[in-house]
Amino acid sequence: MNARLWRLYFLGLCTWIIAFVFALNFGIPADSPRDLISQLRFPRALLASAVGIGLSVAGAVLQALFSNPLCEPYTLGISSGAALGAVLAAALGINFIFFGITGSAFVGALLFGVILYFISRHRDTNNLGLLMAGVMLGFLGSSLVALWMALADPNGIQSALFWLLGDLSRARPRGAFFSLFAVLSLTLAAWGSWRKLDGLLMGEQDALTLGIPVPRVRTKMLILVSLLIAVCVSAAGMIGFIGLVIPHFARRAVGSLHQKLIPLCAIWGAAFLTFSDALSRSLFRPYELPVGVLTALLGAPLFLLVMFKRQGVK
Amino acid sequence: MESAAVSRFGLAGILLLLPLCSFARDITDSIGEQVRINDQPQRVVALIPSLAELTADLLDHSLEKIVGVSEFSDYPPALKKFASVGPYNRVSIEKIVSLRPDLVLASFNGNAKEQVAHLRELKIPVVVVKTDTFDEVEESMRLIGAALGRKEQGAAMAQAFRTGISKIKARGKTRTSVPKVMLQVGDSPLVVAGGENILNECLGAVGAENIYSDSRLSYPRPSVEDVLHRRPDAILVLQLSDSASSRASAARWDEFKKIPAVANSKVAIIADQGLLRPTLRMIEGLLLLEKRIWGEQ
Repeated sequence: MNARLWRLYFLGLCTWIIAFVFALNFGIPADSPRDLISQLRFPRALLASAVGIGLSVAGAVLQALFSNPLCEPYTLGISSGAALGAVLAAALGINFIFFGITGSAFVGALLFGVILYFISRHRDTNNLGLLMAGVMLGFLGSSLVALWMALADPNGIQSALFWLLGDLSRARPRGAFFSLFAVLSLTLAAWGSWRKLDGLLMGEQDALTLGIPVPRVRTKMLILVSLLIAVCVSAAGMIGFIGLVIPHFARRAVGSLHQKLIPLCAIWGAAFLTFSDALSRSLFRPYELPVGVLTALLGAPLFLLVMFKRQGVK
Repeated sequence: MESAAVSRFGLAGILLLLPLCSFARDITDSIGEQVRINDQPQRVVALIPSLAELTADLLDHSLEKIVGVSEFSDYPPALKKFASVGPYNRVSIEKIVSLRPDLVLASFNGNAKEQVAHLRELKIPVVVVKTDTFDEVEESMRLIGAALGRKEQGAAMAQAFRTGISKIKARGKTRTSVPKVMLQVGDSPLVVAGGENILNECLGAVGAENIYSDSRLSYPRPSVEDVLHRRPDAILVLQLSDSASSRASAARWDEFKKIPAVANSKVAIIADQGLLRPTLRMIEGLLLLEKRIWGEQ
């Protein structure tokens, strides 16, 4: 079992490295001058890796926290907060701390995260309640975005629209390193709580009986996941699918125990998004496909295939 | 001896570097940004079709200085063959960098601001131009002329533009009535020219009134009900794609006989895109607009 686990890690790492090299060598122009690689493709591949890690790990943690396999980074509505921040900033031309949309998306995500934090601290809140509150916040955020789009000048919010579909082209060398560093630290912090996450898998009541301080774990995980999502979504927009499906693939491969699961999610998430982004840039030059479209186009059939194959074996 | 050698090499070095640095100059673009560009840029990229057209006009016959244009740059037709950097609202930074431009021309409202910022971070000289009023169009002709190293041509074009506009405006002032016009740019959803738009100024110049000049948007999306309420005397459909779809858009008004424009058969199509081009073609577009509103004269 242990040898198999290492093999899976190793395979994932190799895939990621291959995807990274592919990402550095292919893009919109056929030739690849060196400054193009160092200034544009390298930060972009780095950011894709960071976001892939962040979204997959956030998905895995949320699925454990709510014992619900349909949870994903966007279920809790934090991403809608980011979207709202981005659209408002684009429409009003506000520039926050760093690059316009990125900064305000981060602020929006944090704002929604803080609201969820206070809801989770409320003594009557259980996991289901928090989940419902998150879903409602998500609806609220996305309808406010839709409201703004209906009323505002399409000119101003166009860049926010692209951002909503998932956009890694904003990657900058320093920003990408920062994102990777933040995502890795948060992932390590989540990984450190693998025992508690395992306990939560049994459901809230059983976890309490096992002596796991569920409310405290919930709040801690909420903070970690909110930060993870805020970093990923503000840097790269809403890239769907990864957070939902990579944890499922990983769980099929190594089981549900988080000590093994989280690292595998991280590696596979990085490899998958790096590869998808490289494809999205090189398939239809000079057009760039929104990377979220590609992740779902690649991933959904693959997922169905694996699922049915497994049922056939049964 | 040693110092003489050093100074000789130093002098040679300076002489070698001289041609490289002496031709750079600073230029202030429409948003007040200082941009350092070559005296005679040799590799120009235009990020929006209208600026590609303006560049082509100003360069006259030396189109080989253009190395990249945005998608759908189709006028003059020779531009169709140039390397594409993608659609104007989301150009490919990678493609632009690989073209190694020494001058990039961007539109303030057309191009994404953070893409312009990104190009500047990559040390690519970007001149941003505003073309939302007649004055801004005139200014952009001078600015791009200067940026391309064709100052005289730019100034001449700006002067011709000013003369053309003032002639049209003078004619517009002599009109005895002021028809209420709706300028439609798209349907389902209905999109019209609002107040913050050069089309609004165009209507005013020819002596008409834009029924949506009160909108603070450049392209508002009013309901059909609201159009019925405002009772335009003329509806002009600006053809942006094929003629069949414009005819369909115009025909859609047929059922609303209560609108004066429909009752008096004053629903027309403007097939020329000159009104949206910040070049001398805009004058032609205005003449056509005049003809559509006031008929042949």
